[in-house]
Amino acid sequence: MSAHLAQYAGIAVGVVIFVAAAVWPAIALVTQALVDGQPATPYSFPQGIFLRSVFLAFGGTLAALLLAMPGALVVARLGRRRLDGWIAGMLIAPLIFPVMVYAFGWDRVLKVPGELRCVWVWATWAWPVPALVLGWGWARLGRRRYEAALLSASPPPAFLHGVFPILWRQVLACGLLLFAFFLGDYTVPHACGLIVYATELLLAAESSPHPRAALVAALPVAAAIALSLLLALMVWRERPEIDESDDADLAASAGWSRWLAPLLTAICVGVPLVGLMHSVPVTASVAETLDTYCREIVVSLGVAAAGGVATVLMGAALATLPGVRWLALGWALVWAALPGALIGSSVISAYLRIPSVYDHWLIMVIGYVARFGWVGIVVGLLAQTGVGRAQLKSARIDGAGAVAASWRVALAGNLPTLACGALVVSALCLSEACTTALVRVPEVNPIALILIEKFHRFEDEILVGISLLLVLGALPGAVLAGVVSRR
Amino acid sequence: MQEPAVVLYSSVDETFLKQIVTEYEKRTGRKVQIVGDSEAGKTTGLVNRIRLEKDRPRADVWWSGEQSQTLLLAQEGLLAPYASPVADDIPMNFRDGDDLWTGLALRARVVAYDPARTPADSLPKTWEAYAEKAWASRVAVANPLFGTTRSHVAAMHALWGEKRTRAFLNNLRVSGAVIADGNSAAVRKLIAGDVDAAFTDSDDVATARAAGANVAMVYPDMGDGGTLVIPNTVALVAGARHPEEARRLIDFLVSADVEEALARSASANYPVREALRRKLDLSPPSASTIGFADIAEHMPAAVDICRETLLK
Repeated sequence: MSAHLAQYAGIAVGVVIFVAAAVWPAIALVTQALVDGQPATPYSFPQGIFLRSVFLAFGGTLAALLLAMPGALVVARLGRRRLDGWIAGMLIAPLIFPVMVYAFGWDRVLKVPGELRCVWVWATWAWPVPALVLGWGWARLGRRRYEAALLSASPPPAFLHGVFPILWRQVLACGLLLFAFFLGDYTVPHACGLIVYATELLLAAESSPHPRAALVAALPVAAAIALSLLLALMVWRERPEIDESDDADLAASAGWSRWLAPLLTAICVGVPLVGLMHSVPVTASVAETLDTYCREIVVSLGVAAAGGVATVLMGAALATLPGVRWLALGWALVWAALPGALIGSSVISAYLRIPSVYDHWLIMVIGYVARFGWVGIVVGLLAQTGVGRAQLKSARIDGAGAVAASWRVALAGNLPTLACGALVVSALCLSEACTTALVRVPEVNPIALILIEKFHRFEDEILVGISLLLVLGALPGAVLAGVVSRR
Repeated sequence: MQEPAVVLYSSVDETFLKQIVTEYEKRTGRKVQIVGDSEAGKTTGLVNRIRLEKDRPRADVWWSGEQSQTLLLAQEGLLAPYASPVADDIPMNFRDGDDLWTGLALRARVVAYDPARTPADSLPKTWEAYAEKAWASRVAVANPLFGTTRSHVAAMHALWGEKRTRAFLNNLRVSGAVIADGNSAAVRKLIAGDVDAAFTDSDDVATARAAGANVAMVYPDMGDGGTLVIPNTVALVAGARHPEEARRLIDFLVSADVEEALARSASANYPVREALRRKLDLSPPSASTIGFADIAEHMPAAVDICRETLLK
């Protein structure tokens, strides 16, 4: 009985979060746009900025996919079941640290034009996503063919001819997902001193009293993002069925490749951190930062963690509802296609007359869920597909309903996926500057905005201090990811 | 029962904001809750929020790093009159006739350069000269849709008219001026050697110098023999929930102590009070004749031209 109660309570909470963060703000945005009417001047489409944003996002996607290949090879050689906790932790670590830290770290190490740095920062931060997805697919589907191809070719041609024909859907889906994310991103280009379409949209949302103006401005990028995400979803659903026995058979040897994960992480995480630490006296910086911004860091970490947990809880709950999960994902994807600034103003419009939410940190959590809810639903769906259909079928034969089987078998068996998802979303929330710029409350001074300000004001000591403390704050998350991955 | 915390909406740089508010809290024992603005969207975001919240204001006090948006708020009836007794020594041209806002602590629009790379006497004397072919590709300018760069273009529009402003911006674009994501980003591009000149504010140059960068600044002529100066503005929000606390905070923010602190800070603002200028031996460059109200009035047209030319 209590298991039933927990199940229904969890689903109810997930649905309430979805309505609060995705449905209600969307209604508020459309209503407001209709009531406010036309802006005084027609919107002039900044074609050059849009094309540059597309080009940058494409570059970042390509670089992330290329960088993911060694990581995918690690996962492929180890197999999902033998992916040690610490190696899994190392693979996930780049995602858990706030992306702005990389941007500021690489700024000190990589003296290249802002465009190249932006592409590199995105790639060094996001590569674990395609690495894990491709690696698992590779381990289960393409490893025999890859090893056969290795007999007559070097690794790159062996991958191209042996593995790619089987895994192209995964590659494309991951690429489209990353492209969509990068195209809507404001934080990294801003930290690299670049103006992209997201910057333009932040202005439109911040400066115009007419939501319709911001909506119109958002349409080109929203269409591109929605199309990418829709294609990714379609391609993903067409991927070949996994034979789980394959993974078990071939997971015997890992060899030298297990060292690739620490090496990649050392480069992607270590170099920018060393770059930051090298530029100022670290101890003094951290001490000064703790003295000045301890409260801000703790509160920001707390609100971001609440955002991460709420997002994944929502995604996990919705993913257990067979009739609702794809509808919810579609809605969340359309919503996610809107720029962060527009999502922020929608959340504000939705809760303006509800002081108990509007005046407190809860509105920031809702803003984070609205922004990254689609990630939560993707995590929930991944957790659902992480358990074999045979197990689900057994549960059904034993008398469990579809929802109960999803909840008690699929979700319960994939807590590591959910925990890692919550950590990653928390890190995204911590770095989110666009939605946060609008959804702010007096009691929370978001560390993401302070960090950007320190960068702009040349206050390197505090910048480094905050960055290192955020990494320290995320470290337990990386350890936790490793621990839960062992289960 | 604890005193209600006064809520301050401010687009002033967080570093200085925090220092000054902390000092106020220390002196008075009263709590201030701050809502700041993003670096790129300086001022515009919070102004829009004040508009949105007009039926139930959350902000008690508005402190802006510039004047144009404050004037718009005043015109829209979103500010309440308050003549602070400590602002009597502030010249009338930095105070609103209806006491809706008080100005202090000036910044100037400047061109930053690296004296090691570019001799000061080789720099153009007017803004328009920077848009000519010889210079424009070596210039970085912040996104003119935000912050003080927007006020700067609006001032040009007011002084020069549409045709001349459009030609200036168009020349900048055609000749390859670099558009940066904010004034300090423009200065960063200068420090990195990407450009030889950056259109920015005097406080950004002062901050970079305080951090050890080798940058200097000149004050190009706006066309009327003067430089555009931009005051901080402080105002009481109409319908503030804590009006008494708000007035107390305003008295502190517009005081000579705060203006002196800002002048001595890394942002090196120029005081508007004559006595302070003499005390600190600080004089701003000769100011342009353009009025703050004119700048605010010309802003929408200036923004449209920026979209049609520079940000095409």
